[in-house]
Amino acid sequence: MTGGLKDYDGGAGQLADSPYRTIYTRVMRNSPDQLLNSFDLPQFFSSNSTRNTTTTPVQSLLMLNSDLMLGYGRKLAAQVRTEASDLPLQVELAWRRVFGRKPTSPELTEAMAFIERQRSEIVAWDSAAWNDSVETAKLPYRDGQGIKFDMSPSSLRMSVPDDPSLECREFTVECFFELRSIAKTGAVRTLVSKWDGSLKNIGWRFGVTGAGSRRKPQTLVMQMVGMKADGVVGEAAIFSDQHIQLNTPYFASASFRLPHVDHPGSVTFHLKDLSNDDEQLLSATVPHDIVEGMKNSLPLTFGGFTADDPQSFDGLIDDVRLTGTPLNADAILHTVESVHPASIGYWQFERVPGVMRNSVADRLNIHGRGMQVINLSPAEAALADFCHALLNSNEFLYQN
Amino acid sequence: MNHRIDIPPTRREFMLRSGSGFGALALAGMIHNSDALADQQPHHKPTAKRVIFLFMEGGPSHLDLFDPKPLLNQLAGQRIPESFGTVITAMGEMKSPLLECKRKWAQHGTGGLWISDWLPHIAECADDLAVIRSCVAEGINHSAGVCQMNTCSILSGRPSLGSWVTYGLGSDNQNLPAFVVMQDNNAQVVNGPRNWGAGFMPAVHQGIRLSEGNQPIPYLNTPEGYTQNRQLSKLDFVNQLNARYAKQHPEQTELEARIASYELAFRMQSDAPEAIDLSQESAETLELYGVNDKDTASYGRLCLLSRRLAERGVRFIQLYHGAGSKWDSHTKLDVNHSNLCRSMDKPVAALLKDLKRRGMLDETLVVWGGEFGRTPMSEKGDGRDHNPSGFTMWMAGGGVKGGQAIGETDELGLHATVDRLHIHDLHASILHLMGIDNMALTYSHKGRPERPTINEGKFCKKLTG
Repeated sequence: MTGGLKDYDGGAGQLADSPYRTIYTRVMRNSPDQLLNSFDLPQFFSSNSTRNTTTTPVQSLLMLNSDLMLGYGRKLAAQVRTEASDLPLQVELAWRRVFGRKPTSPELTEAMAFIERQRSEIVAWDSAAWNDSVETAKLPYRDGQGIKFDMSPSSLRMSVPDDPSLECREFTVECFFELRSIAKTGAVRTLVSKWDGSLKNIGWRFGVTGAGSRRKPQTLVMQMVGMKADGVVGEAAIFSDQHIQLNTPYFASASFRLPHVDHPGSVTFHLKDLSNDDEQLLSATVPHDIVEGMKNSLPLTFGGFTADDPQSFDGLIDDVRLTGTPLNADAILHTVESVHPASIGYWQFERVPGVMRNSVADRLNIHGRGMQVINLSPAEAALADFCHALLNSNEFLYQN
Repeated sequence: MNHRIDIPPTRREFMLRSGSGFGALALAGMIHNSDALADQQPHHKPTAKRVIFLFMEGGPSHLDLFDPKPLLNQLAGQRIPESFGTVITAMGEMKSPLLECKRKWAQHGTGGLWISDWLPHIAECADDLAVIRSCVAEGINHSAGVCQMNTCSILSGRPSLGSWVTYGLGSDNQNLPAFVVMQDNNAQVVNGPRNWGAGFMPAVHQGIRLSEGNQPIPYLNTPEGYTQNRQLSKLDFVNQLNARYAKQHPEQTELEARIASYELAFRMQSDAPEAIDLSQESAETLELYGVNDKDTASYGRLCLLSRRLAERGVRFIQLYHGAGSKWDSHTKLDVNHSNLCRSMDKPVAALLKDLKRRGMLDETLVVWGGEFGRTPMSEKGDGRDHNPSGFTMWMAGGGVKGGQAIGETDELGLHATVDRLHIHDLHASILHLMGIDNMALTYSHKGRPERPTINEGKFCKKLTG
């Protein structure tokens, strides 16, 4: 319908948020896909002779307000825009794709009137208050919205421009994530960074090592370049030694401590597999030999190095928090989900206060680049509204 | 003249619209479906109109809260005598030394119920509580235990109790879900949403997770950057499309149901935020629930919210305390339980007192308990293992006679001995108080009449005295 479905003839199961027919969808019984679940997805505990078909307001809310469905509306609009340049023809093409028939003349008139109404509403609205937004996705076992990254060169780049408040001597970086692939080489899949990747330049990144890592494959790493005791800038790569599985939702944090009279400098990692109730929160504290805070003028970047890094994270990242003090297990995000008094940034990717906004204060907001950034003109947004409405209509839901 | 003939564009529609054949068959099912949530008649006169189920997730220790065992402290440090029989425990602690109970106990209320010093506020409500000391379950781990406490079976796949109630009685309100689930923190409850799932029944009966904050129900909010006008205009256009389609297909009642569901969604957008808005509560009420104290704020808010939802006709409310197995005290039970009791005791007592003074306790059944209790044997020196073979739950309100203890465990609290109450019986009793006969309520699944308590379970008559 939106042109996104991929041809697939058997093979490994696919995740529910990827464009494959649902027969290929991998089911997590304790974290069912919301859309399918609301439309009576069987539980897959025992065989079912019939599919229930219920009608609930939860479905309507999902159809009307979820980013997933809004995204389908945008994709359909983009598709018909590539096929025709004038609006009536675009409307007719969308109509045929969704309903399998041409619109009647009154229907076409109503549709055109609706699109014009939306367009003028969008134009009239003060867009100055509007930050850019991106397509969101849902991390299994978590409520709310997260951000999906993939390995394509046009994939999302998300960064917070440098700011003096981002420079902290000691800190804790935390996030929820699900990794979809790892590098065959030792290359790190970056979760959060403030670095450009050069071993000459001071900075750090928090990520997961590749399969070919000679030191520790597929584990959390805090890779840092900073001042050492001998007065020379050097690298310290600190590994948590905790194995990260693919397609599994995790909470992970790293607390960076500088050396002190009574303890050496260290990185403390916390890791929790969200899908496994029986597994405890794992902790590991590993010493490092960096003696000064790692200050630089680079942006704080999610899912990669600086915004120009061609490599990006592959998978989902949810709630990222940066706190200007090393946190213990009793204060990490997994234990207490709120702003810590020392938190500098807490980016939750939710509609309130905004997908790209910082929950700590209305500053240090995110800037995005790449294919997933939503940046539509009023006319394009109005057409997307129209396409989204078609996907909400009964003629679509009950005929296909 | 415009001779327009509507030709059904698809095979399915053609079948539906040709005469009374297939169309009529499908119609029966759809009418049934669209009425699934209509308010329905109970089997007998209920004493409880609604349930608030306070789920202490992870398994609270009955031995340190409601079921005092003097022998336990006498034998502390020794192996449990063989006469008490053997059980399999989750961590294999059958042969570990018995762990003393450090609590101070007192009798409370005119009924003289024993309650430990960890629960001073709930103790004030002793005369409203029917404490069932002889509960029995089969799940020895959390997943099976929580599953059974919600669905009667340790095996997954059956509808939850709240779903059965919704199926049996329908909804008692127009603008909110009939079955609501809330939890005191964001950790996932063991088993996740299937604890409030509808199992093999239609999704319309499943529980809706309600959370505090800006968006109580998933996707309730208008998309970011949308004005109200833009959203309303889109909704109007969807309605316009649907009205035209419904006119062409008068035999499909499901179409009307979906139009109605968009309207209900819209009403929820206005009503749900009001229902969870605690700013309308008096300072005295907020204080009563401990909303202003950081220890009690989280569960206090939930308990207060549950009263507001009960007032608005939500039939089944489940509040998880210690979500993510926080009550699970394999070590350091004293620290763990004293923190959890502090955060739970005052809010739960406030709920009972508040319901009572508003005249709602008589028709609101409050149920308290976890998926199992804990063993008299120690674990890792200062903890207790899981104990499903004998544990305590209590009920209050909804026609239940307070100030009484029902059933007994053995002298060390390992096995339930007198008036054993299996979870089947517990669910049958909750359903009975709500006017539902657990054997008469059936749902046909794959040609078999399925019952909420899997063809077992009896109402515990002592509950009503």
